[in-house]
Amino acid sequence: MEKQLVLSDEQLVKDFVAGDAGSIDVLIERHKAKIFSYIVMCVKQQELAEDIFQEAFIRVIRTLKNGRYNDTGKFSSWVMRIAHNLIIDYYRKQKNQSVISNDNYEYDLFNSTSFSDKSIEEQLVYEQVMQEVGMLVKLLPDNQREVVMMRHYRDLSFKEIAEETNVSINTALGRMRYALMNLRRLAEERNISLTLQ
Amino acid sequence: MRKTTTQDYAAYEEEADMLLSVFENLPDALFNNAELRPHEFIISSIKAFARSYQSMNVLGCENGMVIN
Repeated sequence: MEKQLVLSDEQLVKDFVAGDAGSIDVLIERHKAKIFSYIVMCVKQQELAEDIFQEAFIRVIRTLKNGRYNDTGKFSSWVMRIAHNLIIDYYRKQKNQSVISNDNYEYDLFNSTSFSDKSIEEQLVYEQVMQEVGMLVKLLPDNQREVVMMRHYRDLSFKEIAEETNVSINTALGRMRYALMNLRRLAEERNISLTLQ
Repeated sequence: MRKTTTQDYAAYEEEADMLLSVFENLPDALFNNAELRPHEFIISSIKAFARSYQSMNVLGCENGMVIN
């Protein structure tokens, strides 16, 4: 090991490819601080930086062992470019997934009123709106009321509604459309606001 | 559905590019006493991987491979 400490990176790479596993230890120890510092500066999270660092060296080892290493520049620059590509991959994946991590914020994103239980007032408004909707549904023509009840109270699909009422799917859809138009009209005529908070 | 992100990933990519060019020009010796390092178990797992990894070139494929 002491002899290896004075060897150049190029020689250590050659020795590792030739089967000397100890050579990669020296390369890792020699360059870990610089490569890890670069990754941390980019991603600013210790755990994520460690994942990228590990993945970068796994790729380095695979490339070397498969005889695909032909970089003529510095070893540390080559590893940093591999890490750089992994960082860019990570950013692009995050961008496509649009995931928001709670770890990235100093406050709890989920500690919001929109996720909390309804207040008494909201509950009362909700119950009143439901009561008024029920009353308006009763005013609909029979065939339209039937479709609304089956769809929204019994959660049936339009295919199932069509089968139960012996009509085509298009007729069932049409009845639902007229039912919604009538409900809107009835609510307007009676000055009923069906807006939930 | 409209996709929204709270992070400016394009700016992060630009920053990573800029940092790479800076770090590539910094001398390796500058980091000899740096305290920012990965945990030791990360290092030991990489070293263990280096010892256990066998390239397909070395293993060969005389016996064939089951690919499906």
